[in-house]
Parts: sequence; C-alpha cells; structure tokens
Amino acid sequence: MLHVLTLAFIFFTAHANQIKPRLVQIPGGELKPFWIAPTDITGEQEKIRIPPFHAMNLPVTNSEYVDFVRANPKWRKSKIKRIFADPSYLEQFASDLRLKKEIHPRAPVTYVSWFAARAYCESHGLRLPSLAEWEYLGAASETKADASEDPDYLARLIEWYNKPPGSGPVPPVGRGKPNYYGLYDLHGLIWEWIEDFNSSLISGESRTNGSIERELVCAAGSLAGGNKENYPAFMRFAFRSSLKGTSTIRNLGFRCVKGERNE
Amino acid sequence: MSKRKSLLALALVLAVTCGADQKNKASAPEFKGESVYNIETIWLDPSGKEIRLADFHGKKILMTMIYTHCQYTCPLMIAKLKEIETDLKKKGVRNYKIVLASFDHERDNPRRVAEYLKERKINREPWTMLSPRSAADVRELAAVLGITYAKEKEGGFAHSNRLVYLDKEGVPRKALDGVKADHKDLVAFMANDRK
Amino acid sequence: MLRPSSVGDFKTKAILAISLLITGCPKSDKIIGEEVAKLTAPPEVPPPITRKHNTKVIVHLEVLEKRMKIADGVDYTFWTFGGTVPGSFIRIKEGDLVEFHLSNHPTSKMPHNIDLHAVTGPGGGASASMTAPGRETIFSFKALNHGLFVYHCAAAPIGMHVGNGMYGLILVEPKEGLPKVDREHYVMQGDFYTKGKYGEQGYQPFSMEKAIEEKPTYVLFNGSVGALNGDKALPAKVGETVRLYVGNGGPNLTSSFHLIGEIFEKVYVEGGTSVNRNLATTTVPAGGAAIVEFKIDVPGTYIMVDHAILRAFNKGALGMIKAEGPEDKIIYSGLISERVYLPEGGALPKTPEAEVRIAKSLEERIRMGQTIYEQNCTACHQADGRGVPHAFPPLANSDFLNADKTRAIGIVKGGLSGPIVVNGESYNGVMPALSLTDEEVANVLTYVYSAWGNSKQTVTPEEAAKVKPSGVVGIGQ
Repeated sequence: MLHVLTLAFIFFTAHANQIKPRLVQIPGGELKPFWIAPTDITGEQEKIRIPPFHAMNLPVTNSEYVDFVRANPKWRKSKIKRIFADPSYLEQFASDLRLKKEIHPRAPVTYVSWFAARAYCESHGLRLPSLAEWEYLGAASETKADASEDPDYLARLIEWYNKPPGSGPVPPVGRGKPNYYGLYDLHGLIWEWIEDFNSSLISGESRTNGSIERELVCAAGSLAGGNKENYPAFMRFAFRSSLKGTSTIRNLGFRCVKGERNE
Repeated sequence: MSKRKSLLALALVLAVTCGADQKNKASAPEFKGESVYNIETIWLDPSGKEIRLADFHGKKILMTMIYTHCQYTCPLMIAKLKEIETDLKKKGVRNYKIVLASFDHERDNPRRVAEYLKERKINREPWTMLSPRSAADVRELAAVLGITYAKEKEGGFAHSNRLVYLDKEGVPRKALDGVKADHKDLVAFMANDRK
Repeated sequence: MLRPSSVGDFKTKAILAISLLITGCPKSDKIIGEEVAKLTAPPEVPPPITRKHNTKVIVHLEVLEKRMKIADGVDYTFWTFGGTVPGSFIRIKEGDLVEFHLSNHPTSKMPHNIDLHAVTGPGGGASASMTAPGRETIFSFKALNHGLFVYHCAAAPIGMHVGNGMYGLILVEPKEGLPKVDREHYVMQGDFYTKGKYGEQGYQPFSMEKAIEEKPTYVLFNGSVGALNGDKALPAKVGETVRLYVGNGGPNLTSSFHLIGEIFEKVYVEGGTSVNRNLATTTVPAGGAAIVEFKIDVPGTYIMVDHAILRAFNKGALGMIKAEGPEDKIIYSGLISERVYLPEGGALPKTPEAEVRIAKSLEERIRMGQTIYEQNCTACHQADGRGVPHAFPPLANSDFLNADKTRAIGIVKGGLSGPIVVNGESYNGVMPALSLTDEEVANVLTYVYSAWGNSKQTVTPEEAAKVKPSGVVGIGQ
C-alpha cells in the first residue's frame, strides 16, 4: 500500500513539476572569499568582483550526457583514455549509451571526471564555473543572494553534508526548491566540479592554517582562511583538494555556465 | 571553438604528413590511455611554431610549469633542473627534453619566452619552453600534471612546484615535489627506464 | 585472546631462522618478512605480538560514513575508521615498518585522511593520505617510538571529522613487549554535538555551533550511550590483572578517567614510558591516551566514568566492568548496618520558607512537576524517564510505578533501597529521600504519571500529605 502511494507520488511530481533545463542570467556582484585563498601583501582579503554570467538552472543529467557521448564517441565509457578519467567513469552506465536499470535518466550525471565535464560544457559552447562563480551561486539561499553568514542556512547545509550517504541511486534533479537565482540542487544532491578545482595551494589537511611551505609553493602573498565558522565552505574546500582531474565519484557531477572566463 | 580549430589543424597535419597508409586513423593517432599525448591542445615553442605534446613522442621528458615574471621559486626550479641535467649527463642519459610550460598566457608569448631562456642561459638543448594560447589550456595541463595554481592579483601565479617525468610514450612515471627535494631516485629511475 | 600462529607467521619464522643461521643474532632494527595487521573493533584488542624481530606490517583501514545509534532511539551519522567508533585498534612493534593503506568507501560524501600520532614526519601521514570517495592512498612510516597513540582524521573542517568519531588507537609495543596480563580491553572517550538535546529522539545532525562553543550533548565511551553497560559490560574475573587501553578522541574535552571502586596499580601516563602507580583518576587529554592496569580483588560491577561527573550522569560517559568470582569481606565488607543518627542539640534551625507556589490547574501542576523532575530526578532516571539499564529503574511505562500510587508517594518522600523488579528487570540500588513539600511531591508525580506512556493518574497535595515516607529501608525486604 505504502509502496503504491510512493510510486503514485513520484509519478505525480515527475510530471507536474518537471523543471525544464535553461540558462539563467546571474547578475554580477561581489563575493567575500571565505575559502582559503591567496591574499595581497597587506594580508587584506579583498572582495572578489563577479561579472554577470549565465548558469544552468539544473545539473547536467544522465540523459543529457547520453546525448553527449552519442555525438562524441571519444568520451564513451569504452573509449575514454585513462589520462582523462578513472576506471569507475560512468559506473552508472550499463554500456556506452545505456544506463543501468535502476538509474534515473533525470538524475544528475555523476562518475564524471573534470576532463569529461569540461568537454561536455565545451561541446555546448559553455564552460565550467570558476571557484568564485560557484561559491557566489552557492551562497544564495531560497530567499537571499548571500546567506553565507546566515546560521540557519549553514545549519541546513551541514545537515546535508552530514546525512547518511546511502548506497541507492542518486535521485533526479529539480526536486527541491530553487535558490534566489532560480537554480536547483547546488546543495543537497551532489557535489559539482568547478574549472579551477586545482587552485588550492594548501592541502585539505585542516591544520596548516593557511601557512604555506615556500619550498613546495611559489607565491607572492600569503594564504589565509576566511570565516572559520563556515564549515560547509571548508568541507567543499577539502573535497576539492582531494580531487584529481581524473576523479570519478558517485556523488560528483557538474553544471555549465556561459560568459567570459573568470578565475 | 579553439578545440574545433585544433582538431582541424590536426586533421590537416595528418592529411599532409601521413598519406595513404594512415587512412584508418582519421582522428588522432592512438597513444596509450595514460599518455599525456592524448591532450590535443596546441602550444607555441620559443620560435613561435605550433607544438603539441605528442610531438615529443619517443623522447623522455622532464616537465614543469613556471612563468617568466616569477621571482620566487621558479629560478630555484631552474637551478634544480640544471643539477638534474648534470647528473643525467653523468649517467649517460641523452635522448630527453626539459620542457617548461608557462602559466601566463597573457604575458609569456614566444618572444618573451625566448628572451627568458637566453637570460637564464638555457636557450639550448635539451631545454625548451612552451607558451600557452589560452588560460583553459594551462588549466588542463596543470590538471594532467597534478600541479595546483591560482592567479594572484598583480598578474602573477601562486603555484605548486612539481617536476614530472614522462616516459617515451608520454606516461607520467615519477614526480618530484618542492625545489629542494632529493632528485637522486628520479635520475636513477630515468637512467634505468627503458620505456 | 591467543591464537595459533598462522601460516604467515610460520613463513616469517622460517625466514628468521635462516637469517639467524646466516647472521648469528637478530639485528635489532632489521625488517624481516611482511604481514598484514589484524585489526580489531572496540572493545577488542589484537593479541600481543610474539615475534621477536621487526617486520613490514601492512595495515588496511577503510573509512565508512554510516548511520548508527548514539543513544536509545537516537541516530547519528558517524564518520568511522573501520565502521566503528572508536576506529579499529592497530597493534605493531617498535621498529616495524608500516605500509598504510587508507581507503575511502565509494558511498562516502567526504574526503578523509589520517594523522597517526605514532608517525614521525610532518602531518603524521595526513598530508600524504587525503583520500577522495572511492579511492585509496598508501604511505609508509617506521615506528620509531613505542607508546599508545591516537590516530584521527585531519581533513578540513577537522572539528567535524573528529567530532563525528574519526579516531582510534595505535599501540606501538616496546621491543621487549609489554608485561603479560590476563585481559586487555579498548575504551575510548569522545564528545558529540547534536542539534537536539540529550536523548532527543530520532535522527540528530551534527551541530556546528555547539561544537565551536565546546558544549557537548553527549560524552561517550566507545561511541554510544551504554556501549559498555549491561550485557556489554567488559568481563573480568577476580584475581585477574586487567589492562585498559584508554584513548580520548575529543574533539574538545579532557577526560578525568576513573574506575569507581578500583585503584590503577600501574598507569603508563598519557600512554608514554613513565609509569605512575596507585592512581584512582588519571588525565587523558583530547588526542591522547593512557594505559591503566589493575588487579580485580573483589567481584561486582565497576563503573568507569569521566570524573568530571556531570558528563557521566547527564551525558553518557559511563561504562562497566563486571567481575565474577568469590567475595572477600576483608577487602570490602559491603554494608554492615545502617541506623538513625540524631546529632546532639537536635535538628538544624529551619530556614525561613520561600513563598510556596500552588498549582492552579492540572497543566500547571504538570509544568511545575517537570521542573522539579529536571532538578531532582534526571541524573538517575534520565530526562526521558528510561533510567540506566541495571543501575536506575525506568519511570517510563513503568509497571512498578503505575501499580501503586501510594507506594510511589512514599518512595518520593522517604527514598528506597533494596531489590525491586521493574518491567521484568531487577534493580538493587539506593534512592535517597527527597526533601520536597507535599505540593512538590504532588507536582512531580503528576508529571511523571502524565509522561512516557504512564497511567495519567493525578496526585494532589492532600494525597501526598496523607502518605508516610516509606523509610530508607523497607520495600521489598
């Protein structure tokens, strides 16, 4: 009985609320970098100016990715070069162009490497968002453009980061509420690739406190952490620093943006 | 856009150089899956000539990324590479290249790079330095080599110091992190590597 | 505890024998052969190392993020080394070469790494072991110093990784081994920060605010309330010498580790080389450890606590060792007699009474009763009325309570000692008389009867006034 109800519910929501993928215009603005970032000589952490750009309202889905590999055989599961992706690339695919039975076509595509995500965006005349752009989008709650210091918002994010991972398939995109800009699933469903994932000069080791070793790293300024009470930002930072360009992970996907490259 | 252009260029090169016996390889030649030669981006050498990593096929490569305006550890990295060059000579290692790739696509054009190599007295074999044509190409190469970097406000780059050894097939085999790391093992490894 | 030596052992022994033939005597720090470390889940400890030589030890440790019970009816997402909190116990020998494999399960959300305090080198392994979900990192180290060390995750934000249970112990035995004892157990304290308060039912997420303010909701031994209580109490026998490997993962609190009714004959202070003797309470710092040893002379249940005592009675830092064997009345007599004590000069002068508030309605009686309950009863019967298994009887859904209102009033007024049976479990403890007014007795009992599935009886001050205190000794005898 319960089962039938659940099914009916899924059926209903899938049809009533299916969000169409589109590019959303994002107004420019400023971002206070709260991840660990290079600072200028004075140690001041300046705000980063974000020019206007466009962003996908949804992460790229499995079915969209199937279309991509159909047109670009190089990126198929059987053809991918090891230097571009780990062996678990497209683990949710049964074969080059088919998903496994239990995988939802509208679930975000995961088990994709940075190289593959990039190639996807490029094939659509788009690109991956930069770290600053993603954090700018991710700072928005449902009602505020910048909720990065809103304790309730941070607590909700922590709840997601801390939720049991579960081993079932990843749910479809567009189920939650859109954020201030009208974007879905920036938090709560998957992690997302960014263009400059490899820009963090200190490891995800928590205790280096922004100090860097001159022998290992060449930099004019020093590196400093921002708000130490923003655990979600630190978790994203640690997550990114654990990645290689080839990493393919069960809950790591991507969305693309349009606009002049901005790092 | 740039990718399409580069594919076109590649196709042209193939059409001209390969002739009839290459008809089955309409796209790129097949390299090992782990090889950096699978990267198709085009860089410029100090003479301004277009160059792909695959053009080094058959040579051992020591590769790192620097930029010519760098005043901190890049000179130390070059000093380190000179030491390694001396030690490789002692071991009789010949058929290899030292390839410096630049982070700075805005300032490090081939002319600037050629001057830099001359200043540093490395405008000779086995050294070369590549100028990037776009920021995206730099990001890609850094990801392949496991180098992290971020652009700084004054136009410089904060970056990790990593030296990567690629065998004759372009497969990364060993890396050295830091400008003061002991390179003995790396030199021995290169000398003994028959691949 | 002891296992027959495996084939691998035989092999290394054979190699050792051959090398002995060649070299004459074993070089103290020569690495001979290799073996895969057998790790154990708490409270188990791997058997003592019997080999005399050093070897290459391969350690496989898997990170798992999993939902588990933190208290009855309360779930929490723990991040674990090996699927348990604390993580698997690792046992090696001074001079061993350790090849460490850290894997992160593909279903994990987070990257993790490991800092072993037994490692000499920057980061203690952490910078070499940052591991994304679905990957494995390998690094090696030589165990230069012996001792009992904490290991933990150091990925950003470290407070959350440690706060979610990512720690464990690694024992580096000295070259000559540790003295033989009869039993070894693994106990590790940690503080936990949940959104809801202590005992609040259902799934509870991590609270960043409480963690930063260092206000734990739970302080626990081995990862959950009651992990070492009741049936799960650590076993021992009279006459045995017991060794506890005690760790403290933190993230914030220092433990005042104490075993009620025992004296630690030997304490390897903070897990190091110096031995202190005859301590009752020893400090175990966050990120630190201690080895304690004691001989059990008298049977019974010994309760281990963090002697910062509110953590034991309000936050869960309580575990048990159950020792079986013959009594020895010379060493400990138990209660000999108990009688009335009347000091000369009579009772103390009465302090002027505060204005008495009288409940005007049933709701108000329940509300006022709840306050009295929280002030007087929760330490033993717990905020949720469930009590502590084998120590303090439950008031929730209690047959004993619901059967007899008059008896209940008598107990609240006069206390209770001696054996009773509640919901099929027997208890034999002491409840002190509470000095409450009849109004307060009525309020607190009406609250208790109104809560947790009880019979919803009301108790009025008049009823309370009529019942005589039960007397400290009485019921059940």
